[in-house]
Amino acid sequence: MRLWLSRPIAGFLVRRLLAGAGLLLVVSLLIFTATDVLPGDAAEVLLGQEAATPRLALVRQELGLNEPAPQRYLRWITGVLRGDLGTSLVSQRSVRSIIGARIENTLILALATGLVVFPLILALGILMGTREGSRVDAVFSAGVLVTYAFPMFVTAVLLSLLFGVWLDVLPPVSLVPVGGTALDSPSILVLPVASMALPSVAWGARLTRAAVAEASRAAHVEAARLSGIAESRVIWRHVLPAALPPIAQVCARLVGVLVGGTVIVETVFNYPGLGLALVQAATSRDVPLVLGIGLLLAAVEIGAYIVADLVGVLAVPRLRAPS
Amino acid sequence: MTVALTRTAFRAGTALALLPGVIALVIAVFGPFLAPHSISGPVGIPWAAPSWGAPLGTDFLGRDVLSRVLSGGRTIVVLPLLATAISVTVGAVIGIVAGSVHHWLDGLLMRLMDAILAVPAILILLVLVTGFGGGTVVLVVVVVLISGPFTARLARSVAIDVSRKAYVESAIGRGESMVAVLYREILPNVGGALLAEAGLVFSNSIFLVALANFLGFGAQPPTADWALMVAENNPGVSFNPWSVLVPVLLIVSLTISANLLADRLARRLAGDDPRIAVR
Repeated sequence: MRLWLSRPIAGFLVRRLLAGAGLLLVVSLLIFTATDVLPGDAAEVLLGQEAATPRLALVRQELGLNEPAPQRYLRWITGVLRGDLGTSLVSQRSVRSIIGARIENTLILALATGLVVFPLILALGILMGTREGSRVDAVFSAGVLVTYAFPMFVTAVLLSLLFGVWLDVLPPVSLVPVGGTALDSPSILVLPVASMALPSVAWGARLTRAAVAEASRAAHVEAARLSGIAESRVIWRHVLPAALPPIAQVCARLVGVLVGGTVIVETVFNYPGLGLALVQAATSRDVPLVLGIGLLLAAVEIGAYIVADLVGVLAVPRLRAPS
Repeated sequence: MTVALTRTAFRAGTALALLPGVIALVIAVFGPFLAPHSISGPVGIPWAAPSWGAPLGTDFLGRDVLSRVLSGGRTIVVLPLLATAISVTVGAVIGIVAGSVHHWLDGLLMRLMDAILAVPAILILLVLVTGFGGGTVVLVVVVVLISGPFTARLARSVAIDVSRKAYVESAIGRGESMVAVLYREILPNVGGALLAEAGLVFSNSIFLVALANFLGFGAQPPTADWALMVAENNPGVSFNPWSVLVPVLLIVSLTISANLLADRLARRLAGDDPRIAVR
């Protein structure tokens, strides 16, 4: 029995992983091309004010910028496959070491937010979705719609003004001790997590509500209710399993929302993570650093979709057939 | 009676939802003509509190906040409108073509859309900014790349449904050209879904343009822009809170109305069509 079940799932997983790797390769090509089409190149960024001097040709030669673009892409991507992401043009440190120094802070921020957001999305989505059309649903739906209408950077700025400046109870700027992580002073996490959580919960609750409401309308759910089964059991045994695949997709997209969210709140609170490094790298046109962090973020998002597909397949065997 | 009442309530609700946005819109359009001071010359010390000369105080360079607020709404209104029009058109053309031709082009176009959708939205913005610098053209391209693939997917699935209808098959049977069938038979029946989609793209692109301006990738100093003002004046928010709060209030007025409008439009036009989903 176990063998019979696990083989299709293993096959499904292998297919999805291969497709994900292929997709990541296409994404790497897209982002490399986007940063490579304009004539201004890495040597000019590197030299800055000195770009008009004869050193430009020398530095170009050194960086291999005179090779044609396909060759440079191949050199970059084979380096990435070996774990070498290149060197930052601005700081002259290896991209890998910059990522290594900051990834922990971003992971702490994203995980802490996830721990707040996931349960709230589920709770609110079930609360609203199982009572579709009721007063509770209307009130919460309106609240969610208005909360979602606040852009995340606005939420972050307002929270930092209210709690960081006026009430003065939480730090409005994230100071992390040199060599330490955000966990060394947990109070700096509160405002960034809250800023990310508010719009994410509003967004996710809306989508989860739709999935749960859709599942609640099914005939077998009504039959279960009419036959006198307790409401909690109807929700757990009949509504949730059917709503699980779309909810898993919502969670996968939530990973993407959190990726974007870390970039925004890290900038607002000056929180030393990957998102802030990415914005600074884009501002200074530090191409290798943007590509390195960008590829990592894209891999995280693609990975999240694979996990969500796997959850969907485990919940609904019908989805297992190759499509 | 009840129907009429619900209708009136619905209209009143819509009007109320649109009110803040309309106010922000009026300020964005007519504000520049009412500005009492120049947007680039200082009128006092940086981050001065409100006074008679400067009712909302001054900003980080000592410029009049009121004048800059009145002048700062153009990019956040005009750019999303333009970007939405281009994005929905491009997405619709790709989707309708993909859904109407039954060969390799369909697969190729849709796989390309999948690949673009796999890139996190914020990364599309930052990568293009790295490659091309900031600016309005780049922002429009970013909106098209982020929203276009969603529109294309929607337009394709609606077009597939429509293209199986008898009137399309009879038009093809009459020997009408591909372009004529696409334009006269398929497009009009995809229109409702596309309008609902345009509402979503518009409200999303306001978020994106505001974010890009806030991060410093869109409007460039000394241009007055609400989101850029928030970023510029946030460090001195304890000295002159109005320099941040007023632009924030106007941005939120716009996003709340745009969001509610998009939501109502989607419900009205699409009913329970699951393809038009919030995102």
